[in-house]
Amino acid sequence: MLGTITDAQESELEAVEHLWPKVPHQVCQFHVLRDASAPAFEANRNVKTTLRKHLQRKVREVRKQLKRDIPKVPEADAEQLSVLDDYALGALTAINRDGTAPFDFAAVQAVEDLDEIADSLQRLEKKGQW
Amino acid sequence: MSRVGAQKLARLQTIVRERLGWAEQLAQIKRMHQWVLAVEYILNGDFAQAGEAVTNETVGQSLDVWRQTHATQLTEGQLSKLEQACLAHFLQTLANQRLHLVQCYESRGLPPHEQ
Repeated sequence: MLGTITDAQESELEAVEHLWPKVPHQVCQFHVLRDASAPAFEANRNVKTTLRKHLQRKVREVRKQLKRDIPKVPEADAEQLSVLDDYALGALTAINRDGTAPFDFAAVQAVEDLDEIADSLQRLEKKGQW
Repeated sequence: MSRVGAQKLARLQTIVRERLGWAEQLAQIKRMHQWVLAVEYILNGDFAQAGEAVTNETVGQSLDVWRQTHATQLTEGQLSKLEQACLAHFLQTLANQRLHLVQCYESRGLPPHEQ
């Protein structure tokens, strides 16, 4: 027996310390970080949910309009609108992704993704063509 | 760019720009996320130079320095109430588990630590 590892349940700690008192006992660092960051992760989840609720309906509406317009416009214009639909889909994906505690905070990643989308849209606007 | 394309582009930009309304809340979330990443960095032993041994002592020392530094932030009054509450919980959990959190870095026979 080289060592033991548990998820830091007190009963488990007592059991392994009783069984192997001279063996080093390590608590699972993943579990400790997840427990330690639980309130922060919850705050992150709340922000992401608020962001999603605020933006989702608007982006979906744009997609709906794009789907409606694409068959009605000339092919070159339809291609442009399809590109914009890809951006809208990217925005929806960003605000709908779920994080995983303790390392993946969805709100942080969602906004980084939206930042990239905003930058790319700006480049598109400056270029004026696809 | 077609007229309708320009309109839809402008609309998308307006919607995406609305994320900036959460800038302050997101800044707090990012700072709190950094606590997790910073402690993971320490527990991984990533602070050690190439060839430098990662031991219970070196990891423990780095962790304790981090804890002390952030404990002072709790009393400096620069954190929001949310950050204060979350940091207090974060530090308390680390303190509760500190004894068993850094135990197996130099146990003989375990697979070597990979950096």
